[in-house]
Amino acid sequence: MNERIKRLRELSVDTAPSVSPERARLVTEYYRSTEGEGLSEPVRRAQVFRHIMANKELYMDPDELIVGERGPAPKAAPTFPEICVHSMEDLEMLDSREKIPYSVDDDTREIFENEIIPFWRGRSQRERIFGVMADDWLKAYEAGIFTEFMEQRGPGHTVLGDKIYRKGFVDIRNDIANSLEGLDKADPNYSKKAEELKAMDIATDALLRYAKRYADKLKDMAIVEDDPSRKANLQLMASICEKVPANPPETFREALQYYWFVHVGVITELNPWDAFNPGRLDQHLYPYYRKEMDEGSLTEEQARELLQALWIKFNNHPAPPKVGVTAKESATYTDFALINLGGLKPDGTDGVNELTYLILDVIEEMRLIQPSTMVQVSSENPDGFLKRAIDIIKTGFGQPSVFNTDAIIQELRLQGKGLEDARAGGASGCVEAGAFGKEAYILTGYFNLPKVAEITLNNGLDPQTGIMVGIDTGDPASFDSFDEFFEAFGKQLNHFIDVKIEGNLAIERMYAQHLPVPFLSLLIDDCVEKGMDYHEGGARYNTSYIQGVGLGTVTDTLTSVKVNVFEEKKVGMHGLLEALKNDFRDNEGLRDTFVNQTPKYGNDDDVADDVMKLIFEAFFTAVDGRPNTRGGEHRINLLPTTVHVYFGSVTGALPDGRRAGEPLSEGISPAQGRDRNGPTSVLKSAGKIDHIRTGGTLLNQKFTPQLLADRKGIDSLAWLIRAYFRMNGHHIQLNVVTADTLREAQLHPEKHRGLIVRVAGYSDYFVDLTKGLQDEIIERTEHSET
Amino acid sequence: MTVFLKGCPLGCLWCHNPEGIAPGLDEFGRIISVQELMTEIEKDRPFMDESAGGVTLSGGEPLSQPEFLVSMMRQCRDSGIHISLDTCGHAPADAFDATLDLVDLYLYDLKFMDDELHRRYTGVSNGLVIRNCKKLDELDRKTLIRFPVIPEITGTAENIRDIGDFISSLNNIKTVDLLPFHRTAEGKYERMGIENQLKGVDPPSEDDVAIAKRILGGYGLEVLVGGSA
Repeated sequence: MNERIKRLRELSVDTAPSVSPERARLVTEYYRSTEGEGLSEPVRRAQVFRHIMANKELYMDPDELIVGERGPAPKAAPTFPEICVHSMEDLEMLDSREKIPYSVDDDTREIFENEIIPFWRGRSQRERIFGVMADDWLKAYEAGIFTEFMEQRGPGHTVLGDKIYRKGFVDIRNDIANSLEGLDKADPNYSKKAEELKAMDIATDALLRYAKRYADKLKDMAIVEDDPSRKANLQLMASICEKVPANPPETFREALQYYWFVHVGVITELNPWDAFNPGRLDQHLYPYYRKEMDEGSLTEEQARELLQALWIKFNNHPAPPKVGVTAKESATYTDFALINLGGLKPDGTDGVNELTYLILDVIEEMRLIQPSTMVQVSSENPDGFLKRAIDIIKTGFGQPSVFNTDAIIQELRLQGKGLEDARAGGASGCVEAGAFGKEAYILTGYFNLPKVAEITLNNGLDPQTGIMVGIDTGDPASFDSFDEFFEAFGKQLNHFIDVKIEGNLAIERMYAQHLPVPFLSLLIDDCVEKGMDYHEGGARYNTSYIQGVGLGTVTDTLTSVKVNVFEEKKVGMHGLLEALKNDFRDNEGLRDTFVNQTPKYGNDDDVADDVMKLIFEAFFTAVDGRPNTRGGEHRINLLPTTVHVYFGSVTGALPDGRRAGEPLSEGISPAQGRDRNGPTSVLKSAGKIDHIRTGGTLLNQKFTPQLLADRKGIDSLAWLIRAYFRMNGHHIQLNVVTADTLREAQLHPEKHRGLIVRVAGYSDYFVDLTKGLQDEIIERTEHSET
Repeated sequence: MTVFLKGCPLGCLWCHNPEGIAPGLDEFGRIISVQELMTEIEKDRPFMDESAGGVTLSGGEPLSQPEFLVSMMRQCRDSGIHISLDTCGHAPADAFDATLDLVDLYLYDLKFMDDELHRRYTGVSNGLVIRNCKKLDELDRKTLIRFPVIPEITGTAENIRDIGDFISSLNNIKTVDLLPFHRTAEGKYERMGIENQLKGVDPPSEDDVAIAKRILGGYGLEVLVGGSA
């Protein structure tokens, strides 16, 4: 990388994240000044957005090639008081907590104390949500049965398609005007649609103004700049900001700047989950790259430098500061923008191109935790592509992760998406399949499957608190067979899913009603055409997900009940409950039986894997197809981010031999240390999941570097991945590091600041992880040759 | 996947699988029927299909259980599974010849051409080893010769030249794979409480390996190191 990029990268990496009061202040100022005006919510939200974009500080480093920051400077993270108003205690905790801190200076504290908190207390979405949730919901939430994604962040979970490469904002404005003109005044929803379209128009104006402000500022800077090359750069950037987003981009650089303006817009309007994401970057940019390379107006080095500048932009944007359970479930600065490479073109042919490899070079050279990156691997893609990705993975910073395009397309097709929409899709966030540019696929919360087993064992009672959180499904000591036990488990599961979905429906309405997103709606088909907000169901496809967590642990738990209690009768139900209550104290023999002499998921053992299939069916049936309020349906996926640590902390000892408080298994990986037959058996067990009926599964495998030291190792890993994908596996991610290295880093974090590991669907600095999570990563079975 | 069959008629000082030498059941093995083994092998089928891989039979010396070996190799052949046989070559002619139509690839060890040295370091004569190797050559069976490079034992210039002379005298077999001695088995010797007579012997240096490679290359042979060119 050249000096310019090196300097910008260092600035990005070395700057500590901080809380910026700028956005909260502008939002508060606007709401205060318009109180009592009879504005519709969409219009009010669009005007808030415009007020921010018209007044926020314009950050500009003289070396930058792409402009635009969410905060007033890199790593300065704004807050979103209309959703979650941080209290003084929250700010203190953010500033002082050991892991994932955000510094908060005195001025910021003062602004929060005097302006922001007094205005928003009692009016934020978070307070609204907790205020109306039913008692059953609150009890389950507090017991750690499920989490709630929307309690402090907006539903985003979406990815941009190819719209901005075809249309400028002037074109989009025309589309809005046409849509408005085409409305039928007899339509009972006429005024609602008209207000939404007016709001969208204001939102286009907001981004155009923001770009214009940059163009003016860059021109001013160019006038006073003495250095001729800097001057030329500033002039060029000024002209780019005048061209995009108003008009469709015509060059590689215009395309990148256009995307970045849109990105800043989406993550400033609200704080949507997974930030925003250009999706299939190599597909979208390739036509510009090819054309300019052929014309001679762009060199490979220039393209590389511009991409590196974009990477730094992503890294400048830590996730908005989280609090409470959400901070535990998602303990990371990463904001989950996941760039997709490879895969298929809409016509079904190999999508890998020259630019794909150039972007892989950029990933390798930049070594940043953001953006997250992944390769989509289809049977149509060449092996060389997969092996180049493994080359980067083996350098050990957890990127890129590897996805099965052919499975993703089948998943999306099964959900009723068009073939071309499915091929133009991919995975975002951690592993979630989506139709890019056309789908609102909202993750609503993690669901603690092993906790449901614990509650079944206690007939609805949570033994951690003594509170009745579930329903009466009978004293398990009275059950004569595993079938009876499983039926009770199914009833508890259905009960909690009902409670969760009831909450989801209410929360979805609250976002549609109070916090519409007219700017995001401009970008996702078919919101403009329908005159309907993204939160209301304006997208072409509308999915709500519940993410199952702890599949390995719950499988081992129910397998142990089946085998040890009902079949081999090694322990009675009373004896079992007593041992669990005492966390196996004085009962190590029984625990040894559970751990070492009972079939476990992850070993290609059908006794355990058949139980896994039963659980999968029960979870799938409980969730899949249940309608949401946006014209779509609920579906399942299986991924944890970091919630398996939190969920483990609220779950007592289990019949799989896991002690109270220990982490649950993560994703669809086997429980930590319980896979003892090597990676092929893990893949075989995981391959028995019906991935195609999910919206994504997450499988974590750790390899030591020496396994991938030579060509042969890389070939073997490529074959392993291909074989897993032939079993329809959705995704696999690889940690390449030794446990010794990790232990060393735990003891001497100062020596290992740069050590990046794969956590779950994203990579993070190891020393930034909590002790519990660090231990858990070390524990994950290390597969090395013996 | 690799299946290790227990029992070996040799006792090479450098053996890195000492747990496979003793025949019969001990803490290191288990009794398994051909059918049970085939079930295990079938579990790995998706990976074999993807990598064009198959089953490698090793040990011990797989030919020390000739009936079992032939029976399972027949089933593998019928199921279309590729078979590699990793053998020291010391087996009676009739037992050896029974494998000739069942094996896709022989991984065939040659240690010393001098019979006296062969006896000293492995405990047996190399007569059968040479006979069986010639048989493979005569029938043009796909064979990779494997030669362990152990400093000052097999790795002497004289022995390497003997090996080169022998292989180059064959008609069809033209490839030799050098296996540099390594110490990964030291822990096994300790755990098993048996004397490790090679304790303290260093692995060959890169130069040693390069020299061996050059000598054998001089005979017009294709020389690999650890399976790679």
